[in-house]
Amino acid sequence: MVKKIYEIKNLNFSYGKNKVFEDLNIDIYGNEFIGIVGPNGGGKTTFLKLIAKILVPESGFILYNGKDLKRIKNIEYAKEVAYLPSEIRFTFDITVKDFLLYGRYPFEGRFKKEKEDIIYEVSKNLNIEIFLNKKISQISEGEKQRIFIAQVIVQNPQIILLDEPTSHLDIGYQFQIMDILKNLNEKGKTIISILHDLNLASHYCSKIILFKNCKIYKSGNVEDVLTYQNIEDVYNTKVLVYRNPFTKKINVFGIPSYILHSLSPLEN
Amino acid sequence: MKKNFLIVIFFLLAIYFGIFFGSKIYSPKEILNLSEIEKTIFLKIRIPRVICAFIVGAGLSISGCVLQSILKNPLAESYTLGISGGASLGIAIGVLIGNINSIPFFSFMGSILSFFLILTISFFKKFSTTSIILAGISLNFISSSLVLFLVSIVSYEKFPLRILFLFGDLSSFSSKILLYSSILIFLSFIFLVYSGRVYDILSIDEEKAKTLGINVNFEKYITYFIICLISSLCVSLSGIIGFVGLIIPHIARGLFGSIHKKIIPISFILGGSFLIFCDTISRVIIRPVEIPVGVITGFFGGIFFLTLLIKTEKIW
Repeated sequence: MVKKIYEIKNLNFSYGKNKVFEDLNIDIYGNEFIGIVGPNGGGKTTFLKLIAKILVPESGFILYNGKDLKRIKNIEYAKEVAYLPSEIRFTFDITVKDFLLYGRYPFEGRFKKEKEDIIYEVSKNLNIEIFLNKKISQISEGEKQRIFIAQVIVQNPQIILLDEPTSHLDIGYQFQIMDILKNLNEKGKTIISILHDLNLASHYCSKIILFKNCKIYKSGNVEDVLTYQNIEDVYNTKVLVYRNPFTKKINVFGIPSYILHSLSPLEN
Repeated sequence: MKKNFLIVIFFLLAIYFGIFFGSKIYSPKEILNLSEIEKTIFLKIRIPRVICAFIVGAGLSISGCVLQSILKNPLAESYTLGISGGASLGIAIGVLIGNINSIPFFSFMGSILSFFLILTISFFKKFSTTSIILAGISLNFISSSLVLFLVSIVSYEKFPLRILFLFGDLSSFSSKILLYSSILIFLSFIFLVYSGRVYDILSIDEEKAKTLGINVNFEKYITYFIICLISSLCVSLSGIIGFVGLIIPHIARGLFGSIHKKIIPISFILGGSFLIFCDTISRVIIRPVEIPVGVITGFFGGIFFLTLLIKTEKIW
């Protein structure tokens, strides 16, 4: 029996005078690996921040396990839901170990001694033990993302929200990060992640939410959402959608317009 | 461990120099057989002055340390943000219309207002970290010229105390203000250390902090309040002393990393000791004439500030 974790009803939100969401409705179920996709400026990040309780809806409801999100204390919510922003910029250098320890704040608060064994366990699993005593500034971009994810895992949440965890990573690191998330999902965590790469989404996610112009264009199973009609309409570009014979998953291939123009109308 | 030891040595040396060096230099032996007058001078003037220097230096350093973290701005401190300037203007006005005991109150109002002004401007204009500092320093200049203007239009005799102490001087504080400033600054210090973990996280990312369960706005505003309190008490005691709050936290971070539970206490001790040293130098350098301590801190601070700018050119 899958549990409904989020129930979003008539959600309205705007930044100042800029209306973002108008009467947005969607239900999100637990234990899924959900990919949020769509063009830039389509409201994906705002949506994620609303669920993360960083932004507050103007009107409408976000129910978390049947409870109004507004009535849940930040600290209680932090014990169950973790969020990774698309970018973390450090003003001051800190050691990786200290950075990971901050993930324990919801449990240890201001005073209690942080449980360091969790840090060691997580870093062993993610293979980042060697970085623990290094400074963040000494870590390469690819490894940094793994450390950020490690902090999220240290927080031991049921639901993990991520904003483009694989952007500006090379293909090797992309798969590394996605594999970690997949692994967490198999252990029962719900993953909700904004993804730019539709192929990563189709290969890893169990559900897709497709945004266009701050509306949910379509949501559901990968096969139902990532069709060429939907993608061409949302992204305003021609694509080839096929089932990858090797992975048996949906593959999306964007066709450059100069090639499209050189094709005869018949082939088109 | 070795670093902790050095800090303690630095602190003890500061106390030693602060107490034994001045217009007259004593050896520890002489202290034991002082004349009555010398004893009084010693207990009523020199020791309170060392305490005052310590409290001011410590207060400015911890507020600088926390401001830098919350604003994610390595150049922030109560001087560069215009908080001290606002406090000094508050005092000048307060002295004209009130009495000496109300100085800290006016100082506090001045600091709160100027800080609020800076935050509002930078919020609406979406200032970069650098622009906030430029705005703060401008505000300091405006406040300082207004103070001088007030001093000029009202004859100097009308001011019940040497109002020019506002430009950084440790020789004319009132011992009553020293007493309760010490208590309040110490309590604020405890509070800031108590919130150390919150500042650790806030210095990284505010959104991340929210999702870790921190009530970001509440923590920020209460901290701003505390910092204005500390800064205004410091200005009430010694006038504007710039750069201490900037240099010391950087040294503390350089030595001990970024964990606030550690660097706030270190800033407290280092900052206090540093100002005792500066004050001692200011008393000894052209003995028996005293130069304002602001001259010494400004000199060291300015050099440090420049080095920092050259090193971290990329933030400009």
